[in-house]
Amino acid sequence: MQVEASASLAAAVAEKTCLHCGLPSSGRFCCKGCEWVYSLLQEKGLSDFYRIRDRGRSIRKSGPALVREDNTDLYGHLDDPAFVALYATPAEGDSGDRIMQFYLEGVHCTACVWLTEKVATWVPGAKSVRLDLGHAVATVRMSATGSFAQVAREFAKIGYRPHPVRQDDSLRLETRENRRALIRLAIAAAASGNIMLLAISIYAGATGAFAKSFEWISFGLCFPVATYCAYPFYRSAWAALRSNALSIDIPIALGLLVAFFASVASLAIGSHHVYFDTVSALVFLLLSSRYVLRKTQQEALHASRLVHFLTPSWARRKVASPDPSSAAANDRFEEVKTDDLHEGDRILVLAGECFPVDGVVRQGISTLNCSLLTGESRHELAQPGSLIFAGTLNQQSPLEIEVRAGASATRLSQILRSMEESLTRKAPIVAFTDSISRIFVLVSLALVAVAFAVGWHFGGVNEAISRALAMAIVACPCAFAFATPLALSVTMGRCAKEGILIKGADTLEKLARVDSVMLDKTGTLTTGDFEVLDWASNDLPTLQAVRAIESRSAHPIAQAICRYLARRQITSDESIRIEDFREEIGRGVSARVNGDLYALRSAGDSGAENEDTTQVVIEKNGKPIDRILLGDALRKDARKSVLALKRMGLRVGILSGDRRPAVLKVAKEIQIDPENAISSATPESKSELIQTLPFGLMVGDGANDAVALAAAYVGVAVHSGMEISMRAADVYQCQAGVAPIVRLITVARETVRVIHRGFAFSLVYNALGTVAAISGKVNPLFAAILMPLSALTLFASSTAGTRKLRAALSDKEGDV
Amino acid sequence: MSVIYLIMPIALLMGLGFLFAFVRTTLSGQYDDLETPAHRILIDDELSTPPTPNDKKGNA
Amino acid sequence: MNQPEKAQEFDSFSYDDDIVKKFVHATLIWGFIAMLAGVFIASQLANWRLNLGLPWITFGRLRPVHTNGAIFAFAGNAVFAGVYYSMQRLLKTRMYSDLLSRVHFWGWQLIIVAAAITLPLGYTVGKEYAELEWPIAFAINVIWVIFAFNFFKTIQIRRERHIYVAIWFYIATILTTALLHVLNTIQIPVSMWKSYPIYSGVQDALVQWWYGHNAVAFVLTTPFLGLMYYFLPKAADRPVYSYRLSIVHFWSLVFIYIWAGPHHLLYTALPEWAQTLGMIFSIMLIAPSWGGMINGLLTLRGAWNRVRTEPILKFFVAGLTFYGMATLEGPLLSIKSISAVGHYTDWIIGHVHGGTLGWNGFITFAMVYWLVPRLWNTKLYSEKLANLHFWVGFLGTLTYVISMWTAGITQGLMWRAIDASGKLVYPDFIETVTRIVPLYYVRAVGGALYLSGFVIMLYNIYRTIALAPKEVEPVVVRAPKLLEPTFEMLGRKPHRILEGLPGLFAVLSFVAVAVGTFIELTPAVLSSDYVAVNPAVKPYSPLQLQGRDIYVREGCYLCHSQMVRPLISETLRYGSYSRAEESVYDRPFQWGSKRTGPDLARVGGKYPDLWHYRHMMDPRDVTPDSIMPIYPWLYRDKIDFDVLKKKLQVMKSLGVPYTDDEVEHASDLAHEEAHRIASGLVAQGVPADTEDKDIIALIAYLQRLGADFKKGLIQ
Repeated sequence: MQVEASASLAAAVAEKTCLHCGLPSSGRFCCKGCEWVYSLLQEKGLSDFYRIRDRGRSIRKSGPALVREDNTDLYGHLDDPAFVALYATPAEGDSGDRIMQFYLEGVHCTACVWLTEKVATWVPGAKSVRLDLGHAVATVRMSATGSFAQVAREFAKIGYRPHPVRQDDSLRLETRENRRALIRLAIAAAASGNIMLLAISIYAGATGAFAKSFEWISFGLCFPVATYCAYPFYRSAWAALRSNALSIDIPIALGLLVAFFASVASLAIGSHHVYFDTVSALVFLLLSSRYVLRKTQQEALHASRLVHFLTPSWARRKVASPDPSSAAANDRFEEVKTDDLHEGDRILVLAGECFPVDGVVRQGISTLNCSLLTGESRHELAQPGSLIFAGTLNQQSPLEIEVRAGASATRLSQILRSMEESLTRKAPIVAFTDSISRIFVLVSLALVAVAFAVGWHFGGVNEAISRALAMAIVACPCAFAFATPLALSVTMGRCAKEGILIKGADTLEKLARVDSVMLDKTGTLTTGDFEVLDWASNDLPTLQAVRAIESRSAHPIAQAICRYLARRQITSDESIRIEDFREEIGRGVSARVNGDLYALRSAGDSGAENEDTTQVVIEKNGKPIDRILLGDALRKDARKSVLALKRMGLRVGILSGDRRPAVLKVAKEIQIDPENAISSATPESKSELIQTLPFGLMVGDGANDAVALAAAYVGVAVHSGMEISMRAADVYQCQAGVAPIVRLITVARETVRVIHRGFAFSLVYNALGTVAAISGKVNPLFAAILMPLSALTLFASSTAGTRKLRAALSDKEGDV
Repeated sequence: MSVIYLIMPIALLMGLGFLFAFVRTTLSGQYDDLETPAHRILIDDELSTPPTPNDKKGNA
Repeated sequence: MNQPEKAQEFDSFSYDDDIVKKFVHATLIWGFIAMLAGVFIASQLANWRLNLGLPWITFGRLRPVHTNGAIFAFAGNAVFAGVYYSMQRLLKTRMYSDLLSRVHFWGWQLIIVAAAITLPLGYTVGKEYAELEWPIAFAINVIWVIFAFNFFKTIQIRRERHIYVAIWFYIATILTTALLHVLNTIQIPVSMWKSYPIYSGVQDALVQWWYGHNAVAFVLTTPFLGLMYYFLPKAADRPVYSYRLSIVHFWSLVFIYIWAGPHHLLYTALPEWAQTLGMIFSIMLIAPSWGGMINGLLTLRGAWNRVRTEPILKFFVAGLTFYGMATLEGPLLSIKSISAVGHYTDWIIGHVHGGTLGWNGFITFAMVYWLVPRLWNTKLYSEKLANLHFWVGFLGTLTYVISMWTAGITQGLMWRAIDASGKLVYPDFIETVTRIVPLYYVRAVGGALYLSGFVIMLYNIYRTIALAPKEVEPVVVRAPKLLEPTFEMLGRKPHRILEGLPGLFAVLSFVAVAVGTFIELTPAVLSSDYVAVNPAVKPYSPLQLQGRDIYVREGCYLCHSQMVRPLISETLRYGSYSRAEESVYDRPFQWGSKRTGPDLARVGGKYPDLWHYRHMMDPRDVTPDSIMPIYPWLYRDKIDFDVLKKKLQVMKSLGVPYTDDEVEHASDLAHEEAHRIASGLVAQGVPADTEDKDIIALIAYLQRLGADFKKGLIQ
């Protein structure tokens, strides 16, 4: 595999950045994933990828290639007819092709578009792949017999982890609704633009035949606006009236109808009191502000809602073969929805997948990352007979388990249900503004009557209509009612772009009221995975041998050792011959290298007095020759951020499952007094403690501290795979460490300040508007322009937020 | 100034014509994805070399 | 096992780059000629002797060569080169028909050659930027339709479903320019090279400037925005800053069809409300224009360091900035109070060249520097020369624009200057001219700098092409077939469209508009025209009409206006302001848009015939410091009396109230009037044989200007 020296290659090696993803890295690649993808691209002759990557612009932060080291097949189920029926849709026309959409984790720039769309060229049966970079959704069109699994595997191979997205009707409905709203907006824009020109001509002095024809043309243009474009306002006003509730669209609908029919009447009798420009301008500006609002909220929801599509909602159930004793080899499995599983069924869970239900292992041995429940930072062994809880991750080899509790009864599902419900529940602050705006509607309707009376008194019918109209338009509280949810969804949208997924608007508000923060040691304060702390020997053959052996195993300890050796520039070269490599799970690995038998065994806890380190003994031909000490290293930014949290008036503590000595050592280093540092806490004790803090924020690794995170006032899950953490916590952060927490709380507090600023502005505006309208100072056209403009300014202030909010949200390292 | 009766309808027809074009393109989904087209023009055309064997064999 | 299913199928095809090369060549050649003409006429304004007394190169006839050359030959060919190159790549298909592309190319060059010949010969319609006589105008329409057909057919056979925003700008350009040009060039031919437009007076003014402004908007702005949206991202290797903004600012531009025409006619005899409409619409145009500029400039975010070294990016940045400046200066000039100062002065010329030299020129240069190396598969001969061209061109543009601003504002203020006692501070016009003549020299220098920059480019491109590998076999590219239905195919199932609500309401509103307009239209069309004309006002006599055609032929309207504005300083200087009724029979209207010389609307009867006779022979004879060229051929060429009958017939068919008797005896009437004028002159020592010379007809026309008003026939 001859690598041609291109300019970007030389630059990459010089600045020590990974050849593939450009992130800083010790060797030529920052991780095996990138190396793997790089070699694949070379082999397929797609090295243009790197030339295109250097041009173009990345639209979001990029990470290393998300390629799974172990080549377990995660996508076999994609070809299963039940799955295809659920996820794929037939293409238009009679080509018999089928279309499926994948959310690609990790697409971020022009080169990704190019590479993703090239997949269609080497997958048999693929007709076309179109990537929507903004939403990171790839639309794959396959022939009738093509295999979606094959495409998914190819996506994974080139470094973009695919998640099939169910094209259910909510997505399709949303796109059709967006298009219809855009068409209404366009018609209103075109009509109001032209009507405004005709109106200006009349205001500027066109008289006689010109004035008459301009008014008629304005009527012609305003007709579709007042009927088709304004239909949403009439519909929601009518719906509110029918259920005798009060919606803010009532004054608008009233104003539009009165203005339009008054104008038609005066057109008929020849008077020049025509309000077509008012009607069309009002409809256009209202539709545009509602469209902006809808788009911002959709963008924000898109990121977090997508997560809910990802949770695997189906499993592989063993087909009840006639005689249970027959050899397991020819077992057949069928894909079923998790909801249809019931007690006693046998299901197969492959490596890298989560257990959908609680159960008991019947066949196979593997290591489990059952940290979801036990909070242990190390991995448990699973062999036939051991208990399995739903949500734990099967790490190393396939396991067959017998279902113990139906899907809906598992502990995890209760957490899941509470999450669904939080998404729909409105934030208290939004509920408050809704009630206020309802009162506003009542008041404004009364004021319209007052304006009509005052107008009648001073200047007869026309004056009365004009003042009532102006009042109805000015008093509409839509600025007030929309600005609050807009501010919340803008922040959620911006956070989503920065890799912070906030579950619901109410979480943001709760974040602002948090008064104490409990941090988890592993993963938050410390880097969370194994680091080699001490390994004295530098005898080259042993180092290379260890490197060769360890690079074969997926065990976290093995990866830590490989990273350490990579930092010491010990690369695995081809000359080393390895035979009969054996890996016994839970005890260690061994292999014959260049004739010598090497074995690496973990010697259990060193039991050393200060921290919980693990020791790995290296034996050469049966004789222990060296010892490696591994443990957990403190994160660099931990101390500075904890200080910042204290300055913001928050009480900071540690809540960890690890043992006392480790927790105390970390607490001392970041100046947290010992009684706030609680150690060796089980999931249950963690959640009980958290519940004692009314406004406590719990930060933890999504997988390990799930139960505590769910129970906390606000749970922030950090960096452990999106699927698992989003089920337990309210907020998921892809950046680990404490600094992001400081940013998160600042963002929340600033957003609430923006909302209060919005309240003040709209109250003042409505008061002034009312006085001006009643006193006749403001004519309907001026009001029709003033009111939506005030709404737009309020939306602008909600979107812009405060300077601190923008600083907190914009990535410190400057624009990507 | 009666020429205004010639120019005015034509101006409106032009505006309506473009509006109609906008409606049709929206219905056909031109504006669903407003991020990728800007990137796609940067991707150069692919040279049509005769398809090498491993290209067509499917996955390596 | 059956043969493994094929993956994505591809079509192999190659782009038609040869047509692009042709248009690039044309752009460079015509660009040089147009700019050379520009520098030459600029120096003629600085020093009248450069007119050399030859009819073919006098300013009046050469200026249209420069304007038509720069807009349609230079900018036109540049746009076509850019469109043919970018369109094929954006739609991933070869042009629909290579033949039509060639027909379009050679047809367009033929039109330019025809214009370059007929304009110096004096065959002109007399309307700015629409001077080309009816055969050429008709040819333009035909060639444009051929181009449009080829363009839209190529869109239909495209392999990329999404239509990029640049293509939308090209579509808007093609459709609107076609419509405008057709509407503004409806002319009734008198002979092979002479025709009269069907509109007259204020109507002709409105339609002309509705076309005039949009020749700028839809030939010099939207296509160049399209080029910018394709070539800038390609040159900067950056996607456009916000694709959403480019879509919004395109559609907001075309929904409200352009109403900015009247800002060329502020304070003229155009109705007040039309002027205000034009003003307000022009100010509204700032938003879409600046949307384009901001989108372009911010595309360079993250690549600004390359602007320091790469000439192409320098051209783009400077071009976009000039675009922003010009599209802000234009709307400001459209405000009536500023237009009162700026109109008819050199400030307008400064604005025009800020846009053309700065925006159109620089974007074209950037495109050419980017295109040539790719078309000829080689490297640019010298980056240093390209950088030199940028700085020379930039300096030239600044010199040009600043000198014209200074000249324009100085002259505008001098015209308006009134002292305490209410008298004009500079009563005779020549004072305001001599004050700014030095600036004409500076402008000529600026133009020369810009031209020399252009020559540097010519040399650079010539060497690039010379060193390019001789024959390069066409690059064969491949692109996947398009499977999804495109939006035209959407129409295949008509019911799906109309059954939707938008269709229903579109039809309903159209009916409403039609009914409303019809109810209004009938009374307006039947009743007398807006301009109620006093029947005592007689149309031009045959001799005066012939004199008017000479006025149009020599391009007098390019330096003299015939529109006194209702401003104190103008009524003091020229007499009462011009009414719409005075120009009701003027085909074409000659209100003019530049006062290098004084306004002539009220010149009838102001000077004796002999004054005009001596003035046209040598203006310095009566106004010592005049910069007007000499017109010796008016004293040689004979009046064509025979064509007068045909001219009056055509005028009568267009509604001018000539009696049949006048039409029948047109040439006799002309002879009588010529004799009357000539005898008066001969008595004062003028040679006897001038009776049938053009000068007599011209004098007859000049003495008629404003005469009806002085006789009190027009209130």
